[in-house]
Amino acid sequence: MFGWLKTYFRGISWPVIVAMGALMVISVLSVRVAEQADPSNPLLRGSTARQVVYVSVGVVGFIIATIIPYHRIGRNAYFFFALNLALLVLVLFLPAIRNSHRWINLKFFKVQPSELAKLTYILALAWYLRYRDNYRRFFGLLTPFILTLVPAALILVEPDLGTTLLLFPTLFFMLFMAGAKIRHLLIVVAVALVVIFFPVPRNVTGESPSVIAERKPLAYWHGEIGGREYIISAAPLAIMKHHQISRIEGWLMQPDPLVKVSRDKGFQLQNSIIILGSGGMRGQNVLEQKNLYFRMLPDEHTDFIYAIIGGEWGFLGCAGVMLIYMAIFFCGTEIAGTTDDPFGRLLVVGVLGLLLAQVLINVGMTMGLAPITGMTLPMISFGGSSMLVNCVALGLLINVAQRRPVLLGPKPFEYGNRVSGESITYGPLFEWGRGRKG
Amino acid sequence: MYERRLKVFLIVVVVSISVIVGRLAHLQLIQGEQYRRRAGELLIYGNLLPTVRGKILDRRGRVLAYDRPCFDFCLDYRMLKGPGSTVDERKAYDRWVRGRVREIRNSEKVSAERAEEIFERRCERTWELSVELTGATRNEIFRTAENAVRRVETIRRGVGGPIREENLSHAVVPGLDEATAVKVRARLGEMVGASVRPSHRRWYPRGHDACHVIGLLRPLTGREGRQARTTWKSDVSIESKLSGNLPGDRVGSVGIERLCEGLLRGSRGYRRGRRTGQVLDEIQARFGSDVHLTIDIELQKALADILVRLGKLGAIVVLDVPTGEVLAMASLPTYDLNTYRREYDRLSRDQVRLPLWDRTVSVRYPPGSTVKPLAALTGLSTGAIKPDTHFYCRGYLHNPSAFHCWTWWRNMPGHGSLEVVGALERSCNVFFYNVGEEIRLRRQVEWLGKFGFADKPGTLLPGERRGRLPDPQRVRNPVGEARYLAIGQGEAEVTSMHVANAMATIARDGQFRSPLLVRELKNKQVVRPLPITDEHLRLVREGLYKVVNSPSGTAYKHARDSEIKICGKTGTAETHPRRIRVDTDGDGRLDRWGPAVCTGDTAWFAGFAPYRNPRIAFVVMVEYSETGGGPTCGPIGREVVKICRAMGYMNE
Repeated sequence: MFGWLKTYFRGISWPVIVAMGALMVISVLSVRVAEQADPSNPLLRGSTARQVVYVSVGVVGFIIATIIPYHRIGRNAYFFFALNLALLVLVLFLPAIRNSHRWINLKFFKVQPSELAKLTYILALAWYLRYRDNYRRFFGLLTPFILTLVPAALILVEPDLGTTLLLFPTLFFMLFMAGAKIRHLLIVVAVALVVIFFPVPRNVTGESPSVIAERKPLAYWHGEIGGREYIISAAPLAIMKHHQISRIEGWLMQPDPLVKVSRDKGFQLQNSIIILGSGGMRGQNVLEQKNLYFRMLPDEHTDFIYAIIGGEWGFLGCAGVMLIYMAIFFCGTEIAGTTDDPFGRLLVVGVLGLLLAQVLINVGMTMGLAPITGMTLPMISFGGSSMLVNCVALGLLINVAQRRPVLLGPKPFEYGNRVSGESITYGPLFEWGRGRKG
Repeated sequence: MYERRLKVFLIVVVVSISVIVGRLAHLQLIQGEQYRRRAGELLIYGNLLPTVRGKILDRRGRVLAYDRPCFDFCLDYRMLKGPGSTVDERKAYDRWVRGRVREIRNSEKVSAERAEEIFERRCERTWELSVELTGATRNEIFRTAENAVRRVETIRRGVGGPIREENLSHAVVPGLDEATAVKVRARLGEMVGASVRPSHRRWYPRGHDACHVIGLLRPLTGREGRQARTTWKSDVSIESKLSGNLPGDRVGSVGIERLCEGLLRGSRGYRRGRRTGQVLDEIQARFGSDVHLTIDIELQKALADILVRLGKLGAIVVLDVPTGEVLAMASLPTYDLNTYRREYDRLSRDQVRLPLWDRTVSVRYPPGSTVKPLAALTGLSTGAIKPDTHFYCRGYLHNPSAFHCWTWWRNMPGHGSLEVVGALERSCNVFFYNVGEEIRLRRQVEWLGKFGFADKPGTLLPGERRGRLPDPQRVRNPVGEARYLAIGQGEAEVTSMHVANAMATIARDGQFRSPLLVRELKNKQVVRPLPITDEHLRLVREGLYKVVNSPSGTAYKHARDSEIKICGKTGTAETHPRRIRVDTDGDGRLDRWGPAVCTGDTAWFAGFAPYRNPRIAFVVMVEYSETGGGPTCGPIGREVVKICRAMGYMNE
């Protein structure tokens, strides 16, 4: 009677599930810390309870994502992707919330299509790359890039720079894993770097001093040419907002956290480093320390939650979280290595790449290794969409793991002459739907 | 290939997480202690505890100035600033507006559109009502609003980011009384972002009385504000920071308020605590101490009223002879200290009456004949004349073209042969021309200096001016100048307080004491005996007695009192007419001296009473008088002495 259950559990990678559960617990605990730290803040009131609900929803999403065979999802990948693109377009026409068109307000909760886009994008890309090898030619890279640029552009105009920037590492990683030639990828990167750092002169004659002062810090050169005042700076700086420029500037300055800095330059970075550092080995579990969080961090329960973990549980907590992530990556790699199905492989590496990029950027920005962008820490930050998406992504990871086959032939994308001698035996190829039919 | 690339991925994972953990270890384990200390510092906050400025009291303990509780009408910063010009400002403003509209929706139970309408109407109504209810003019309100916005923006620039003040209310109409506050409070619902909060304000219960003495407060100037800010940031001890100023403070600008700033101000307290409410340490606020003046405000008022009644401008000073305390120093015209700011334009523009000038210590007049007793004392003490030296007055000194006696202009015969007492009694110029010539200029200036004429009057008030005496080295005609100086003309110019103090010195048997105005500053009083013998003093006093009480005395008809034996000396000093500055080329700047607006002589009556065992010394000065010192100031002087007696300053 429970035979199907037995087969359901057979291929599951338990460490991933344990790690995910641990992250969820840490998430609820640290959101609770943030809530306790600032009981007077109406925005934070009841956020622990809400996070518990989000976690439960995430678990449900995770289970669903493990039950439906990933091929069945993959078949509809383009459809989901198109639907998501439609949502991304729709969201631009909805009223702005907090000055950006990121959320669709559904009365009880707000859906963030850009979060969903991470997932559908990976599905669509994996589905596209599945049986091809055209991306091994330089111009064959065009289609995957177009597939990326469309959602990236839509997300960029929301604006949500963080999510936009997330798509590209994922794309590169998936292409890399799918076997695209490294020199092609390097050429693309080189071209992108040239475009990004291309010096663009800008005539600032007659501009107000404040505008010039805003543009000056990151400029290559500033001076007069033929009686006109020019600022030569990297191309994106011309369109970047003042606060973005000053964030990058603050990051480049790497202000000494023990010296007071002005509020608009590296202030958040400085505060987050102080809080992180003040945790010490075991953290400071005192009320005062909690007070520090809401006094000094703007989004302590979402973007800067890692600083709270650092302050509350110290080095042990922080390193522990890192180890948990590391466990997920190792087990994920193992799943990617043992699955035979090309779509499954790409799906897993996509999920892993997405997670890794998010973790590195978020943690990096908390400790001053990366400029500050609005990026959530997967599975830990407060927020429903992010939690659900990451749970579903891990669900898909497990989904692939459950359906790992017995490997007999050479593996896909192994283009070398060397024939892998590995043949790992897992249980019989199981697909739930098919099994029930039979 | 795929396997290999998976290994690459794993290496990337391991390396990047190692980097992160390494950085973590650096931050938390190596530098952790340092950051923990810094975090602890950030959690400690310092709060300034307010102090209360001391009161100013008169000699009987009546309050002349104090911090009175009152109410400020405040408006929200967003109301004052409006939507602003930058995108961020506009966003913040919109957010605030949405909040207010939501409040209206919730309280009035209306639709969103209706709530916005109500909001708009209330916004307009706020300005109308703030004018209507508080009684301030539109201009004043806009000016204070502008100042508040400018102040906040300056702070914002300094901090380099959003500050708390941008979300707070700022006082727009300060100093409302309770009735108005209640009235405004009742209608706050019709306005947006308006509030009334308790505050305190310097209040001068006596209004006009002794306005020049008490003085005023003013806000810190820009330079002082900047200096205060740098001091606050500097490394000096916290105590000295707390006793200093901070931007936004008010400090004494004139009068006692400025003189006793250090006493009155007190010092703020400072409380260091944690955000959890635990107090780490606290420096108590030291309230400003009260300042006790030697002035009797009722006496001062009564004396000023005499001048007001007669419609004359001038000064009356009364000194307590034994101690040198100032009992009254009235300068006319006066102004109301409480409405000074509002009336400042009118007051400062009045170039004819010059109400802001303190005629007791800040304005110098030629002393005229009131200096003759000093000249006599100088002559006697230096041996230039003997008590029985006679000079003959025929109406002029040597020839009728110059150096006349005052009788000359009235077509009266000269005084004839006079010795010191008679010359004082009749105020004979010719006698004193001779005396001045005998003493010589240098010695005369030196001796007037001993009477304090070369220094500031000595009350220590900020506006005091030195007496002006001819410089013996630079005078072209020392003989003529010496003659003129002996009758108080020429280059000599002194304040009323100088003259009063000289009279007190004579009455005090030749002991010089600088006038004492503030009890707390008694240790700064200068006391020095003058090298004058009692014999000479007796002679001069007799002369002064006869001025009032002998039928041939110049003040006999005007100042004699049947009950009190007043000694005095009249004076009628020729004075430059007062001219006003005018704008001839119409560029808005006053560039030329215009026509004379005040002409006449400075009329004096200075003396002491009673004759034996003097208690008070007084001066009555009327500027630009039509008639001489006797007829103008004599009756006033008598009145002054009578009032002082009635108030009990003579029979102690």
